[in-house]
Amino acid sequence: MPTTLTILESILIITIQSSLYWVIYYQADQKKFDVLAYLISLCIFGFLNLSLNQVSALAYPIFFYGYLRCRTYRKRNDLAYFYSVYVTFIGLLLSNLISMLSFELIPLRFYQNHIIILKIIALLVPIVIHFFIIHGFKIKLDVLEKDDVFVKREIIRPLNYLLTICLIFFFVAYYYEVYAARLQASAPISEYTKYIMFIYVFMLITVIAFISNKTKTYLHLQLERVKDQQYEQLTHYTHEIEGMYQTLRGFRHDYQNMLISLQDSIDTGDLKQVQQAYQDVLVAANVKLTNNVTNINELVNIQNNTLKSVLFWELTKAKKAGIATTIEIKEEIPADLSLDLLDLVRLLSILLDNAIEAALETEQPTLRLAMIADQKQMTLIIQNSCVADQLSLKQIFEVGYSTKGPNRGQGLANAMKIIDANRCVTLETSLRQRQFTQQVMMGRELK
Amino acid sequence: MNIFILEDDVWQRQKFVDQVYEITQRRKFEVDQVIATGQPDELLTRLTQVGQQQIYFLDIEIKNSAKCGLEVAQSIRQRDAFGTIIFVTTHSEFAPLTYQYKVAALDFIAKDQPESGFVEQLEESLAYVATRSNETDPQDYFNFESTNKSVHLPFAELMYFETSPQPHKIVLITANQRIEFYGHMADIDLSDHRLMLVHRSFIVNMANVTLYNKKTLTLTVRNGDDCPVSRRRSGKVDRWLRAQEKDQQNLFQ
Repeated sequence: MPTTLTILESILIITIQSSLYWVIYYQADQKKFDVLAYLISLCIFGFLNLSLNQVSALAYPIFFYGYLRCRTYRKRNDLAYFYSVYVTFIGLLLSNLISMLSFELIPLRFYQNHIIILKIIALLVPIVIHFFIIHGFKIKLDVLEKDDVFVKREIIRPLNYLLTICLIFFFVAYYYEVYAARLQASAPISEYTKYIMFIYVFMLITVIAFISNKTKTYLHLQLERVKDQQYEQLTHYTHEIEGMYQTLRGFRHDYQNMLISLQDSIDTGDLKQVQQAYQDVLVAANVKLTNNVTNINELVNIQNNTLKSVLFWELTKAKKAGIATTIEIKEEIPADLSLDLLDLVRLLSILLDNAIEAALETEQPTLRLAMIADQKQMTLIIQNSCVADQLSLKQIFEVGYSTKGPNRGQGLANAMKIIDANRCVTLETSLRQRQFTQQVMMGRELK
Repeated sequence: MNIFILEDDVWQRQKFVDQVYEITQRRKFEVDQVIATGQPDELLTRLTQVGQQQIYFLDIEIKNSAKCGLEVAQSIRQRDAFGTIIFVTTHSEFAPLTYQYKVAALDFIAKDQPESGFVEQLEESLAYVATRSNETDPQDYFNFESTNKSVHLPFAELMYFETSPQPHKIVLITANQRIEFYGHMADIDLSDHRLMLVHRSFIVNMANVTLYNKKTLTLTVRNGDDCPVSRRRSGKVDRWLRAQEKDQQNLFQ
């Protein structure tokens, strides 16, 4: 009877222990829960724990690294490594700290009688502590996923070194404690434990402070970059408006000249010449005012400066590349949108870059952009000419898919990530008569 | 075909009507009536029939009237979901995407272009309506009201529905569209007998299935995409397809 009880107990402990790491992982990295991997991990950890006992702790980072490398972060070795070490380190450290504390503070007899409950508490309290750490320090680890040199060099790399050192130190201390205690087979080595506890707390604070500090620095940097870009684009915008004004002035001048010549023709009574002059005025005006300058002035209706400059930048790029570009913004677009500005800018640039690239493959490249605001939502429509007549509208959003061969096509997959991360945003895509259209709807009330 | 023209300038209106008559007689299009007016309200009161054989040419800026062309178009759309709306206006007023989105306008015709181009575009749009058959049965539509949008599509175009990583967000793949909306898979599953939940996260329009691979448990739909079938529901899929085959054989006999 006691044997079955101990087996049940150890199964319970192993389940909770493995779950602890998964919970910490999902607290840090907001991904969809992978049931299959969780169940597999239970089996592996359970088997290892029963057969190898304490050594099995080493299996956690290895398993998580393998899992993340194969499933979530196929192309981000550094991230897979980071999460595997982070999860193991935080999980082991916190649960160890709690059990040490309870061992120190709780009377020995009580401790021995309720060892199972205390073990479970030592495994559950870390979840709460980690929750408060994440929310208290406002740590946003999704920043790490950004494909940015700063993130890779200045955050993930030093962080990985730091975590590795901490984890190695932890394992050394942990196994020393386990085996030394076993060899001496004596009462707890309290003095030693106290020092270890201090070092643990110190390591934890170092890691957390580093992450929180660096991610904040990155966000500031991002803001700086956007500001610089904004300034640059605003200068471009002013130039464009000036250019438009010049064209209008030139047109007025031509127009007056032609009216004078029309007057001459009317005076002579030559109807053919009158017709000719009239055609010249009408046709010339249209060519000048519609082809040369797209209705870029409609950007005035956008209240948000960042959005305005990004749009301006992308649309001038399209125009310079020889794409017939038109803009339709008939209503005022409010400054506060339901989508986070950085996300919106990223989404817009991905969609527009894609549209430009696809349009350039066609013989008569066209790009149209419209923004429509009504009471319920803001709608953004981007339409471009496209060589393909049929496309799998499912596959184009998958990672690695591209009409231009492998190792491209990150764009739309990233756009999808942004859209899926925001509840207020939905996307509609269509391909009709070689016109590819993306329609992004940003709801207001769903925020 | 019923032709409606909204144009506030008398001269332009008369010229427009002449051009329409010229084209319809030359191309031998069947015309029931041509209604040309400068008053939005008059156009709306004389709107008695609806359907695929209606065509509306609307100017956007209307003098002496509270309603502009867009509002007229919106009132028309409320009554007539299938008529063809075309805006006739100056280049600077062009906003094809906006009007396509708001009232499903088919096209824009510029007033400020050489007459030959104008007539050509006019002829194209009249020919479009004249050849429009009642092919897609207006009754056979898939309608779904979700919290953020209403989906209204011919049933034959539906391929399949799929769940997305965002909870309650559903992705609909049609012949040439991909639409995201919020809703529950169960509601869609129950909305029509041809829609079948073949997998926890897939609902397939069984009328568009082209191939069923029993080994890999995948259904291929008309646009070439594959949908997984769960083992538990494979029997149901099999029975449905066999019943359909039998129906078709009976039809041929």
